[in-house]
Amino acid sequence: MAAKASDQQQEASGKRPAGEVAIGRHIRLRTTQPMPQFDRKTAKAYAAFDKRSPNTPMYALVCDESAPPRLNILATLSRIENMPFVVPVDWGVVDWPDTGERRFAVAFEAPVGERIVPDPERSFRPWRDEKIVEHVIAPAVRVLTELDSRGVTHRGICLENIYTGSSGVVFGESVGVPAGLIQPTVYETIQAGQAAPEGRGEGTPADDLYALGVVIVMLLRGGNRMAGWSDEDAVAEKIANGSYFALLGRTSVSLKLMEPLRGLLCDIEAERWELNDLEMWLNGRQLSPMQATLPTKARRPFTFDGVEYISPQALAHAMANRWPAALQVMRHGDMDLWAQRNLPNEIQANRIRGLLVGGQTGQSGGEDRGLARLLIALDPAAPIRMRNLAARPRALAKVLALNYDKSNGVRDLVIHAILAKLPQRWIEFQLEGTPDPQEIQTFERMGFFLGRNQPGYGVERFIYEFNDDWPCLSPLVRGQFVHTIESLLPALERLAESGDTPSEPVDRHIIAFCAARMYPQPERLLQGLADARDSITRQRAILHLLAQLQRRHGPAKLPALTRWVGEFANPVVDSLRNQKLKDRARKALERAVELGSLVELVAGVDDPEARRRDVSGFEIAQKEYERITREIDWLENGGLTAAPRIAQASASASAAVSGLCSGLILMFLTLFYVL
Amino acid sequence: MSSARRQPGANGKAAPGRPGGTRKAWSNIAMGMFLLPVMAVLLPTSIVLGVLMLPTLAAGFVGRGRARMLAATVGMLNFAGCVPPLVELWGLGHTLAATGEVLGEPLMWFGPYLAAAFGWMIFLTIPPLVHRYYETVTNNRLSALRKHQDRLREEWGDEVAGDEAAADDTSADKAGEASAAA
Repeated sequence: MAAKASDQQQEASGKRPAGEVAIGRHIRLRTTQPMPQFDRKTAKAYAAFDKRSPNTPMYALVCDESAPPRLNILATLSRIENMPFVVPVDWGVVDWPDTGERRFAVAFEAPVGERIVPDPERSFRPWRDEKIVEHVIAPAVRVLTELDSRGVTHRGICLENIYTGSSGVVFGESVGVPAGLIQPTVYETIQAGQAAPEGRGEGTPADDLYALGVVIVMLLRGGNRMAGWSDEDAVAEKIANGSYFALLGRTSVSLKLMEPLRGLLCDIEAERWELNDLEMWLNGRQLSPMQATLPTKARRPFTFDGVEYISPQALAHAMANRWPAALQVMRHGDMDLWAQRNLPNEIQANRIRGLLVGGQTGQSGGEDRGLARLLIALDPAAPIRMRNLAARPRALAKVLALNYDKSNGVRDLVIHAILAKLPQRWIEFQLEGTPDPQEIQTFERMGFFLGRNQPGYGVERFIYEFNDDWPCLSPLVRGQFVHTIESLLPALERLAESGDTPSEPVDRHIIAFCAARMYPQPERLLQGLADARDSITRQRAILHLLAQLQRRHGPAKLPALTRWVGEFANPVVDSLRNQKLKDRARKALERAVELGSLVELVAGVDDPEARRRDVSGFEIAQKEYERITREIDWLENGGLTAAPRIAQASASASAAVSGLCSGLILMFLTLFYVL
Repeated sequence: MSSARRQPGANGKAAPGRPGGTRKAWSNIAMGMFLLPVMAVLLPTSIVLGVLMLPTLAAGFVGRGRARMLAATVGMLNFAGCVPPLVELWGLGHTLAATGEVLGEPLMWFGPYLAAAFGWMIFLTIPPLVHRYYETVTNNRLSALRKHQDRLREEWGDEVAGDEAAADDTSADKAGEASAAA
């Protein structure tokens, strides 16, 4: 709604002060006034104001098209009121000055205070327990409860994103970038931390609670114990000692805060404190402190790359980060014996043994797949890891979308992982809980789309089908932030107006985008595109797709696009055989271009009844032509003038003339004798 | 089995004693048995006709394959020419004496033989006329058919003639023009 309103406003208002663009009806963004303090990694912040209350401090994030904001939760978050949380006020696609691009902007009410910690990587004065409880935990519980009730996660709770407020702290926004993308690894659980930033996904409230626990620890310690550590080392430390000890180090914690910290930083998600537990604790109910959880240990360590690992999780983590060495270990083949003899969980040991015996193939791809499965078996809760891919299964679609244009090979690894059914193996190998058939079905669908290469399927369809807030990545509409099906044709119209048009008005991305976003899905057209035996069939399917788009989603007039599509449709007109039908279609095409209507264009150019008549009429004409040719040949070869035929005809004619003459003679004689 | 039930020869020709041949022979015998008494009863007429229609008999022999049509052409006029002598014969009492009298009159020979000659002449002059007629018909028909073909080409394009190469060239030209325009 807001996006639409923004678009209309942009179009309607021709005059606006220079350097200002409209977000929705009331918000104005100052493009010349950046606010770097609110910048996110993939979104720049600019000053903004509300026309109704110009003194209210506001800012707007202008998002990168290749890392779009969390569009599907914007509306939900905007309805949150009176919470210590920066919520979106309005949003929409804006025309960015001097670039010709359209960008997505989200406006927020700016927090009044500064960040509670100017530089979290440096030590600062530790906070008192009471202050933490009153100013951080209490507002956090309110915010997280509100988010939980609305079925969304924050995924951005970290010191860098918490500001001082009038009473307590204010949590920063959480929609400007894909979930978890810019969250520092230290705030992530072991499992999420093992994933690459783009592979952490939307997560669950348990991820937010864990991040809150990390925030509390840092405020207590007066800094980040792991500042300057690599992500790999930070996660390895958490695996080895448990998050609680890894984050606190030797810092002593009061009995009061030990209880929530052990609960929030529990590394087993099922045992981690939930919001209810935290709320009860905040209300004064004392719970017995949980024991810090440590990973499962083997009876004897396994030596990998010169280091001994006692837990399979730590071993898997190390192997995932040193892939070539891990492949060597898998080939060597003594891990199965180690697993059989030393792992306490027999099911896990048998799985590892089974994989090592059956999974070693000579091919590189097969080895990668085998090692990825082995890592899942070693640490089932960890993300799927294969070479430089590390992602939670539910985040695979986002990983592919974020890496679609990058040359880091992750895109192909995601495809490989899904086609190799690694997510299904991941679900199957979980030691806790029962597999969710719906989730397995989702991954099967992913494989279905990736396994087909026809237009409307493949990687492109996968991106839009499983990322319902992703903008169209087609080069034709790049820079215009086409994230809804309604905005596709206007974007193509702008491209047509620019005159820099390729021969075809759609590409694989646009077809896949339409297939994923149009409801009901244009299955017949997709089938037509997939089965296109020749270019004409394909062109006809494209024309019908565009016409359907205009019929369903408008706008009513697309003069430049219709002109472009008209040129594209010329071969379709030429494919008609009958000259009269062709002339009629050409006139209809010209009329449609004048009207700017793709619907009219397709009705005139590709009327099914006319095309049927054309085909059947052509067949009849062809047969008629053949018959005439045969007759001409026969006549030219003396069909009528051949000697036997002439003799035959002459004899008959002679007999007839003779009969006539003799009849006349007899009649004459009869008259002569009678009279 | 018995030879009476043997099948027709493999060359398709009727074997001796086959039903068709037998029927024809019986038909000829029946015709002969009917005509012989008639000829006996009408002997003068038969003699006059036999003599005056000799040209028809000759045409039957000369015409070979076309014998029937030549004989028919000559025979019809020849017979028409025989009517005055027959009327004369019957006027004289239809006797053998009258037969001699009629056949002895040279003028009585003139009519039938002249008519037969006319029939023969018709048979000889008709073919060139027929040939010319059919040539004209052929030319007119060819012209009409070619016009029809042109109309079909005009309406449906060269592809209607199955002339794929020509059609492809045309399409390629159009595609080239289109891409040049784009």
